[in-house]
Amino acid sequence: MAETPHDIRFALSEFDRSQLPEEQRQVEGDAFLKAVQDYLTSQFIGQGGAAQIVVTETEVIIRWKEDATPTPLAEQGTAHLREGDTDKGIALLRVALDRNPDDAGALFNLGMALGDRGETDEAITLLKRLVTIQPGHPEVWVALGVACGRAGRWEDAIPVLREAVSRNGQDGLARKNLGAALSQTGNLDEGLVHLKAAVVLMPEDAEAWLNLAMNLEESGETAEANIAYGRVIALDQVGSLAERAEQARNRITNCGLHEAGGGLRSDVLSHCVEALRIFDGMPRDRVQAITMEIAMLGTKGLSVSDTTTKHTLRGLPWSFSGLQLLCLEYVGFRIIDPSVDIGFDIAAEYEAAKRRHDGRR
Amino acid sequence: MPFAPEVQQLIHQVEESSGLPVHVAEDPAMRLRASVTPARHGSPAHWVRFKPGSSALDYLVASQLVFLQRSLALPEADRWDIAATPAEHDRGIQTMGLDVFDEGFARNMVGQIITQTRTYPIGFRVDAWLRAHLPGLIPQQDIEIRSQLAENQRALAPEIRSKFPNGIVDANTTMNAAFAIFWAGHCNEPRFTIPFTALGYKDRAEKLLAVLDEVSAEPAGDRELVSRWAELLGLADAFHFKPATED
Repeated sequence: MAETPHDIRFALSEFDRSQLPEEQRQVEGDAFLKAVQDYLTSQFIGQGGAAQIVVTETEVIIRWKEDATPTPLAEQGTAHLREGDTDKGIALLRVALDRNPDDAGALFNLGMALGDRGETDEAITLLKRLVTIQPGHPEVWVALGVACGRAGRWEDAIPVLREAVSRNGQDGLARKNLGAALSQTGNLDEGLVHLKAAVVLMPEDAEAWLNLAMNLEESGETAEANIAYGRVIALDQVGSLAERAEQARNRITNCGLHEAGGGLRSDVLSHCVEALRIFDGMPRDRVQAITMEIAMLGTKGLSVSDTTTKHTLRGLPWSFSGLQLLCLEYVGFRIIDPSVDIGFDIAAEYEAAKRRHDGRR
Repeated sequence: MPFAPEVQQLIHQVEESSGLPVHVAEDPAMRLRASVTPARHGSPAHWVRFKPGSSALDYLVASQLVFLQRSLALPEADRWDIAATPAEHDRGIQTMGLDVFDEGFARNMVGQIITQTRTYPIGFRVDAWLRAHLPGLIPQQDIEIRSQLAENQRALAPEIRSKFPNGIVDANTTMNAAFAIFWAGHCNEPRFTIPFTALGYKDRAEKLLAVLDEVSAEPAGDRELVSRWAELLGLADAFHFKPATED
């Protein structure tokens, strides 16, 4: 077994203060001891062993214990990122790069982590370096394109993502991000081609479906967009993507309702009258229970244009179309809490229905 | 003594090229791990001596033979040695701050630092050659290097450094830092350098290592290598080069 330097001692007075961060170079007493301790600890991180460092008022003692199988620094940093300890992961990856500026793993993972944290300039610099030294890296082109997109640099993002697609047309992530970037910059038709490919390659990717839905909505293909948003809601359940999809569906429905006539929609008006009749005299807590049940159904996606599909409620004996339920929900919230905005503006129909209902009474 | 086949081959090559036999002998009394004495002044053989007990004897002997081979690779008229006049030694003693000691001890110390100035840079050439041409010896080389690193790091202890003047401590530590940085890179163990960096020797050591890149790695460059290191360490006036054939 080769001899390895284990215990090292030197005088604290000989420590080179210029090694410390600038703001710590003048510190004295315990603060200096801690600064030296922190500096040395950081230097020994990821060295394939453990350094026990003791800093006394007169000397520094380093006791080194080797690991049997040291893990490379970049791998350690990446593991911390995976575990959600971003600060530690980034710190380790920076040390890995200090020691080897061409460490592909460190360049990629640090670039990704910084991009996720919004530090896009540095992320782009690192990922560009990786592209230069390892252009065949399987994920770097997409990562660089995403970082450019996050920085709002679409003119840089699009050619990089095109390169990613040209290198691997079966890369769903490349397709998704190129499609999104093209859509973002108004090239909806070409964006749509890539987004459709993305959802074929990654049918369980809610973000790909959301990008596709947004493209379709922007293109005026609201029926298809509605279906795609429904897929997002099904895949993401109650996540933030589903919330965005839900809002978008409400928006589409809202537009649909008011594009239909210009004046009041008779079907909505009649469903509101019907809802007012159902709730008339009903105890408030029962109205609330029914309204909340419809709201919960709505999170799974209700189609207001589909009149054939019927839904049942636990609290009422009849079956209802999506549009009927929407009106029932609207009227219910007007009774229990008028401040709630359910995302559909049918106030005019409601007011007309209320007048009609009150007049009959 | 059954040396590894590559060492025996090396002995054979030196004997062939010099026309003189190589004697390899144990010397339990010696301070160094190994040394080589070229055949001079009518000596019938080159002598390689080693201190017994090391688990890296093949490497130790091989490295001494490569030192010798580098010298023999030069035309006879270009072979060199180093020597110091009393005046040069005095200058070295002054520069290294050794004048606080009695003369005998000071001369001994300055002689040691000059020897280190010669052996370290050429040692890097020798070790690089061995790593490239005799890979079978790498495990033994690693043992010796780590052992040397441990020894160098022990020399950082306050009770050792405080015994000597800053001049010689700095020259010695700068060369040891260069050794640590060089092998940290080759062994992919950056931690070797940490204590030397913490003590502020990294920049000076890197200047020494830069000379390795600037000077030819062929044996003909060894003299310039030593000379450049001596300048950087403040020892240029403490010795001179002389023809190896000179008495």
